[in-house]
Order: sequence, then structure tokens, then C-alpha cells
Amino acid sequence: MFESTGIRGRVAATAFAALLAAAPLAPAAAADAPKHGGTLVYGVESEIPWYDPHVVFGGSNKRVVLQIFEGLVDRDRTQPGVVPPLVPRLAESWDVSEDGKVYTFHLRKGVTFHDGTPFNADAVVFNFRRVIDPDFEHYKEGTDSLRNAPLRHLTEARAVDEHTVELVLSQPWGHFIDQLSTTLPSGLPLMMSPASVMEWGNEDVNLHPVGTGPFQLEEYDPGVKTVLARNADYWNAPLPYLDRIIFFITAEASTRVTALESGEVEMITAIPADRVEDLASAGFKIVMPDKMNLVWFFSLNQDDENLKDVRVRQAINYAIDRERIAKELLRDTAMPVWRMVPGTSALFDPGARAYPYDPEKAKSLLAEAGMADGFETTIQVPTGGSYMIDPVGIAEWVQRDLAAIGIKVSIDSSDWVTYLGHWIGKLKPGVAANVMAWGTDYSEFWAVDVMSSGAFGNTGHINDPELDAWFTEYQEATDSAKALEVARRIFDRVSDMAYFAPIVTDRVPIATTQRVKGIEAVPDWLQAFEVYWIDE
Amino acid sequence: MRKLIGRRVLAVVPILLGVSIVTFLLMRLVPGDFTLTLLGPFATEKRIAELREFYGLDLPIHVQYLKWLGSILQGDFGKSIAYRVPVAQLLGDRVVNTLILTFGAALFAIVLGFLGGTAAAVRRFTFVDRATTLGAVIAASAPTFWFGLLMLYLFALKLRWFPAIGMYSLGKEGDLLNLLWHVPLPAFSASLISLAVILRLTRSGLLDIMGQDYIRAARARGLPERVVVYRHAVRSVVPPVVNISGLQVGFLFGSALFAEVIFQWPGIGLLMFNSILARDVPVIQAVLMVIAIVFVLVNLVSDVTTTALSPRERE
Repeated sequence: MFESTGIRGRVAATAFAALLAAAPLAPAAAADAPKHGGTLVYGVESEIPWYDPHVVFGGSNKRVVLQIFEGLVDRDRTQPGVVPPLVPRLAESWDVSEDGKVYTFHLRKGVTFHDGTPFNADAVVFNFRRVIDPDFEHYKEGTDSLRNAPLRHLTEARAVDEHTVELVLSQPWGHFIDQLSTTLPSGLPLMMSPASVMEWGNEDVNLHPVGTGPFQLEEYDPGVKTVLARNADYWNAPLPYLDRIIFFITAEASTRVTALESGEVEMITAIPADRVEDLASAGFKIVMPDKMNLVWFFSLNQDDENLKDVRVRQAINYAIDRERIAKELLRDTAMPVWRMVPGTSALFDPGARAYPYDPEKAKSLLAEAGMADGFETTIQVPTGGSYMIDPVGIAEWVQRDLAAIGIKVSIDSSDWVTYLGHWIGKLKPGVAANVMAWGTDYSEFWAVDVMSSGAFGNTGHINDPELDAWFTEYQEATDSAKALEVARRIFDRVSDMAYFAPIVTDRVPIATTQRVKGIEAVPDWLQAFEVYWIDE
Repeated sequence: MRKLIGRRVLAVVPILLGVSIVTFLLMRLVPGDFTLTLLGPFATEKRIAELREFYGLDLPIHVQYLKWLGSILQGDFGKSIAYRVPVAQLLGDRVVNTLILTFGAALFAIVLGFLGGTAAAVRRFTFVDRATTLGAVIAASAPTFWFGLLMLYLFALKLRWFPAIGMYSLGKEGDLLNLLWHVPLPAFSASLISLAVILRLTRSGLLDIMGQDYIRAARARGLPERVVVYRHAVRSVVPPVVNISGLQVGFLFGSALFAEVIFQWPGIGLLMFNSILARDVPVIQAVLMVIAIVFVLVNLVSDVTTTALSPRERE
């Protein structure tokens, strides 16, 4: 969580290793103790080989990359129902200088990359210079997103000794450690073997990933499967338990479900909402946390004549029956949200319903805004895409709800890539809204890229000087309580001004056979495969 | 004869050129481009522009086309954007896999179509005829996608006779028996339309022939009905069936896509489906070209064979 990030001084080496390793030591029946061995065949919706961690994007790629590579810090995704806490991973601890600009990391000793080369301070410096130093011999083009997001204030990385690294920031930044554990941007601050980059070169190393993680790439058959094999020398023994994970690509959702039912795969993701119940009653294990670090929302267009008046945007929010969408359309595989705050946020309040379903109130707000007769408009949605659930289905339900208060919506749907083209170009006048699903990394930092004026994710053209001032204040805050207080103000105002129409938070259900053990409902769309095991 | 074959072969060139232009333009006319696939939603405008320049997307469209045509003539289909390997490398195995599926589907279509058509014609207006003809109409109209899922549910899930996905079971790659076990479901699903076409053609062809004078003469001579039908009539219906079957093979090669997607068969259809989702333009173009080439070649062979067989067409 964010709270730990502003603390000055040495952070005690939290027992990540002990925590994970505690499972086999726990007093449990022998039959329940994790066993080594076995292959987990995981039916996935897509898997594209973007294994260079510094440019990786998309959930399906990160799912693989995070088994091969590790960062200095991480999130512990093993505790059921618990928002994954920040834990040290390749760093054992860190100190922050008095002025808040120099972070000194004490690295874990005795760690080697899959190619046998040592993980040390030089390797860390190599990895950061690859991203932030254009003069570096191994500088990698196309790492903008990593450089501009989690590493936005990093100016220098230097080795102090074999196991100590200093990262120098241009300004104090209380979000730095938190952002080092991010899984959100295109490109993650994970550690690659410098030798692998030198051997394969900056381009081809993409298909020859060498990290320190619990698994290593064994085979890659484009469009068919990706096979990861156990790293026998993993520093955090006895993990991992599985010998192999096979990411078996089953692009067609019904085929994926059948493959699980017929026993050809052990685990599937991206399950059609109306099949989850069937699978549960057929005896499969459904892993579905009751909260998730994602929000599925409409950005409302401030540049559109119809939506300029805040009352119209509020009316839209009152008109949508989110509970019904979550329950009847998505069969409880998602939870309704009324604010831009996912269930994993410290600001989340399950009782707070900013805009409860109230079509009468919506109508009177429209009338107050001089739009009693409603208007016609368009919304843009993709037909599918990364964590998009059922975008057209949701849009159709919203279309029906809005029609009830006199707003006639036509749905402009396009495939994901085409849609992203529209989305990056932001909302044009005449289009009321578009859709995005955004993960939030447990802090509120993501809002900077979505709600501050001019931000690339601010597709609805929010231009609110008051918000912008608070964002500056938020980013400069080095004290976590203070940052949270500012964030609360930000989200309250965003909600009051109805800049968005948040709809649901996806619960990202996963179905497995009963043989798959160690998998817990953790509120994160990424999984800790290292603690999974197969009960033969 | 030789002249005719020469003419047909020459006609292939403008056809393929036309196909290449359409293929190229289609990929360029759709909105949004693959630089977004590469960079994702967090791309900066500057980076998109750089990448467009890198892939030559900023050049005039005819220059892009000529450059592309030049490289595919040298067998260079470029590099896959999503998979980061040369397209030719991706195509290699997959073309073979699709050919295996096409062969299986053609076998179903030809054997079942021919037998069914013959049975229907011989037992004209009986229950067998009605059932077969109705079955053919349904088969021809049922979307492969729907039918494939039905087969999947019935034979892979309920009866468990066949596996649901892939070409081999995991760990059994290269095992011929395992492959043969994986073929029937996708091959039968893919064969339906062709099966129906061949069935109806066989039936109507046979019915035509059964009304001819020489059949009546054979009957008048007191030959057993079995001999009349199977020795005289059926033999005459074989050439047109062979001809249409040849054409169906080209069609099956291109239309196996749906079966490949449903059954996760690692052929060019599945490759194309995934590439379309990822807007992997070099791969889509290459697959379309391969399908066009196979289709044109099969047509050519079929034309030439028919000509060679038919005395009327000989000069």
C-alpha cells in the first residue's frame, strides 16, 4: 500500500521469502502440503511474445513476463482477499536520504540470472541506464512509457558496492517505491540479465528473456503456446512448485471453456460471464476476488455541447442502473461502482453510492439544464480488448437506460486496435463518451494520467484548474497521509463534477480443476504462479 | 491444347497481381494502424510517428505497394509485427497444417458427398433421398462456427470420442496416430459446405443420367438394376464430380479458418484470425496471398485436367 512508501529511513527487510515459504511449514495435513512437480496447462485468450520487460504492454504479456523477471520491489499476490502489500523482492531493504532525492537499495545476495550471471549492483545500473540514459551503449528505444511513468524523476543510477545501488531523483517524490512495483505502464522496471542484452542485442533479446524469476522461458510456438519451466536455482526455494506452466492459446472463448471441461487444460481465464455459474456447478473451482484494482468507465466529453452542463453529466450517472448490469448482464463477475475508485483503494467506501439509480432525478436534472427533451449522441466502444469484459453488451444496457430519460445514444463500435486509434485521438465534439478499463496499482497515482488537464488518458478534455492544483500538491506530497487526503479531495470533486460515468469493476474470474492448488482469490489481475501446485 | 494451357497459365499473372493490389489496399484502408498494436494505449504521438516512419507508412501508397510487391516477389513477406519473426517462418509449418486439415475435409466432403448423392439419387423420393437432401441443405446453410461448436460439445465434451483442441496432445507432437485422432472434428466441420455441394451435384447428375436413353436400353436388356446403376450410371457422373471436387479443395483451403479457430488448429486460418485481432498487417497480407495462390493454382490444375479429359475441349 501507499502508506509504506513515504517512510524515511531504513525499512526493515519484510519477510517476503518467509511469507511465501511459510506455506509448506504450516501445520497442515500432509495431503494439503504443496508438492513439487507437475505441469499447469493454462488456457489463455492471447499470448504475444513481448518478453522485453522494459517495453512489455498488455495484461496477457505481463502475465508471462512477471514469472520470468523480478523487480527491486513487488506486490505479494499470495494472500487471499488481501490487497497485495508492497514487499521487497530483489532489494532486501532501502533507505531514503534526508532531502528525499536519493534512494539507496540494499540488494538481495546470492541471486543469479537464469544464465548463471550474478544479479548485482552493476546489473541494476545496467537496467536503469538502458531506459533513462540515451548515451548508454545499450539504451533501448521505445521505453518512453516506463521512463515517463514510474521512472519519471529518475536521473541517475549508480553502484555503491557489489550489493548497494543509489537511485537519484530530480526532486523528492513520495510515490517512487510504490511506482517501482507498478504493473500498469507499457514497460516495467524489472531486471534483465545484462549478458543476455549484450549477447542478443536490444531487439532480439525480446525472444530470449533472461531474468531472475521463478520460471524461465523454455519454448515459444507463436500463436499456439508458450512454455515456462521451473527455475531450479530460484533464490526463494522451495518455490516454485510447478515444473512447467504452459500458456495454451485458445482464442475462442467457448473453445476455451470446452477445453477445461474436457480436461485438456487445467485452468482458464477470460471466461464468458454466463458460463461461470455452469463451471462452478460442474465442480470446477472458480477463483474470483470480491474486489479488483480495475475500473471500467465512460469518459464523458467536456468539449461536447450537450455535456458541458454538469447537470447533464450527473443525469447520465443517475440514469444508469449499474447494479442490474453487474447482476443480470455480467452475472456478478463484476461489481457496480459509482465513483472512479476501485475496491482495492484506501479511498473505497462500499456504502458510498455517488449516483444511485434514479431515472426520475435524472429527468429533472436534464430539465433543469434545459434539455427536458433529451438529445441524440454517440458513444464509442471497442468490440473487445484488454479487460474490456463485454463492452458492446454494457453499452447496449446503458443505451437503453439513457433512452429512458430521453437521451438517444447510437453505439459506434470498432475492433480494439481501431478503437485505440480513436481513443488516443481523444473525444471529438458530437461524441458523448468512450470507454476504458484502467488498473490502478493500489495507489491513486493513476488519476494523474487520466484526470489532469492535457494528460494522455484524459480523453474527455477535463480542464479543471482546481483539480490540477491538487494534482501538483498530490505529486509533491512526500507524506502518505497527506497524499491520501489530497487524493480524497480529487476523487470527491471528480465525482461531484461527473467527469466520468464509472460502471463496474471486473472481478476477473479464473476457473481451474480441483487439482490446481495454492491459487487464491487475490484482488489483482496478475497471479503468483510460484505458489501454485498440482495435486496429482 | 498446349496453347490453351499456356493461355490459362498466363491468365494467372494478372489475377494474382489484382489480388495483391486488393489485399494491400484493404489493409491500408481500414482505420487505425498497427503502430498502436505495437505501442498500446500508452503510446505517445511522437513515438507513433517514429514507428510509422520506420515501417514506411508515411510514404505514398503506391510506393508502399511497389516496395511490398518487390519484396514478396523475392519471397520476403517481411517480419511479423506481433510475433517478431519473419512471416515466411510463421507460414512454413502452418501452411502444411492447413493442408492436412484441407485434405481431411476434402476426404469427408468427397466420400460422403459422393456416397450420399448416389444414395439419394438411387432412392429418389424415398425417405433416404429426403433426409439426405434436407441434411445437405442444412449443412450448406449452417455456419461452420455454430456447427463446429456443436460438434465440440457433442463429441469432445459429452461423448469424449475426440479431443477438443489442437493438432496434437501436449507432449505427443509428431505422433501420427495422435494427429489422426485430432483431425476428424475440425475436418468434418470444415467440410460441410463442400460436402453439400458435391452431394447435390452427384444427385442431380446421376438423376440426369438415369433418364438417358442408354440407361433405358441397359434396363431393357434386362441387366440387374445394381449393374445399371453402379457400372453404367455412376461411372458417367464421376468426371463432373472430380471437377467440382478439385475446385472445392481450393475453397476448403481458404475456408478452413472457422474450423481452425474453433478447434485451435495451428494453421494459416488461425494465424490470420489472431493476426487480424493484432492488426499484424504483414502476416494478414501474406496469408491472403497464399490462399489466393493456392486457389488459383488448384483452379488451374482443375481446368487443365478437365480439358485434357474432355475430347470436346481438345483442339
